[in-house]
Amino acid sequence: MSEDRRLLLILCIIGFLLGMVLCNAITIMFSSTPDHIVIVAPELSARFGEPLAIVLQTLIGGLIGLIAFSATAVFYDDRFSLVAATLIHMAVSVSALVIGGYFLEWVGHTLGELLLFMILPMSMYVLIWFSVYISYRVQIKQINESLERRRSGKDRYRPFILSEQPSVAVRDPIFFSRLADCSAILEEVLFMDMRKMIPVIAMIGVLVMFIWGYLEGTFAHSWLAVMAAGIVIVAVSIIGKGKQGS
Amino acid sequence: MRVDFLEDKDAYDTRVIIQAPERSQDVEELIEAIMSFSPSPISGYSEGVMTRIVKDSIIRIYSKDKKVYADTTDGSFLIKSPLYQLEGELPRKFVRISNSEIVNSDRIIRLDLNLAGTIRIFLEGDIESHVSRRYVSKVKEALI
Repeated sequence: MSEDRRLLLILCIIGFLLGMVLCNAITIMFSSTPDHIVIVAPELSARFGEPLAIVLQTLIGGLIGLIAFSATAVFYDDRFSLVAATLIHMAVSVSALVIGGYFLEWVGHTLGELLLFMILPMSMYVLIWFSVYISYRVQIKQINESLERRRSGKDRYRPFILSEQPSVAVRDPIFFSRLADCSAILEEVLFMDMRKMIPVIAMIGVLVMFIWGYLEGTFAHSWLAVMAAGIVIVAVSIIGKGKQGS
Repeated sequence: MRVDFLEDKDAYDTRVIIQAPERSQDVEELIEAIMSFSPSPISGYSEGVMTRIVKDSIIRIYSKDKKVYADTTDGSFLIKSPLYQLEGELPRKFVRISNSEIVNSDRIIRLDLNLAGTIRIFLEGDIESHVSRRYVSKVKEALI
């Protein structure tokens, strides 16, 4: 089996398993109240009976996960730019989510409700693109700094042969990072020590969820706080890994 | 520096032993130079004439239209060996940047990322190419 096919198979398996777990977890979080746990949407339960509804929800959730995860293969295909890969993944995943959500009664059947349902996952993609972009940017900055060190002879352990002056202008890395490049400044300020804050971000997310749910009297919306914290944690982790070269 | 040669007819392979009072930076550089030493030049063809290409002069080796080419400081040559075979024969300083291209890390000038997420690499000789996203970490590993 080729490496690409093996990667796709692994992504499909992970996606299916995660999808099965997450769709049930999200339904419980979204539909339950402090005194009543709801496993499947009442409309779906009424149509198929609770046992079959749970099976259907688990299988469809698995399918959504499988589609979303297998679509990440576009990020490994260099025929697509990062923006194109992100847009393709968004189109595939959000479509699967909306169709699955429509069938599982996670969302109302009017166009407005469907569009509203699409906004949150679509906005997440802006953050995904930004995180991946910054991750690559950090790695490329490190590579350029290493090349600069070799050229200036500071890295004596790795001899560098440069027979002629570079014909392409090389930007000063210090100037580049500290003065000229706004995204690099943002990256330095925002993400330098943020990985240490991951447990704190997680705790704040949970705390906000509880307070929000308590004040509102239902946890129907407060789970958004945990999701927001999760998105921030994923972004911080990706950038941290980029720095380490993982 | 003294260089000794010991002939051993039973030796399985060529072995280099460096004897020094400590592992200084000079010794490290010597180790690096020996490790990246590649004895046999590559045969390249330009307008039907065969040329022996010194590996240090290679800027990049790439495949295009099912043929393999080497851009060197002395010009461009057609290579008859496949890319995967050359990868095994080249010293460690040669890094694969995509499925179809290997570059000499000593000849890289800089890398650049645009907003669309395309990673460009600038090499000596005004050569510009692209780094595959899945090879970025390998390039980094080779250089840092």
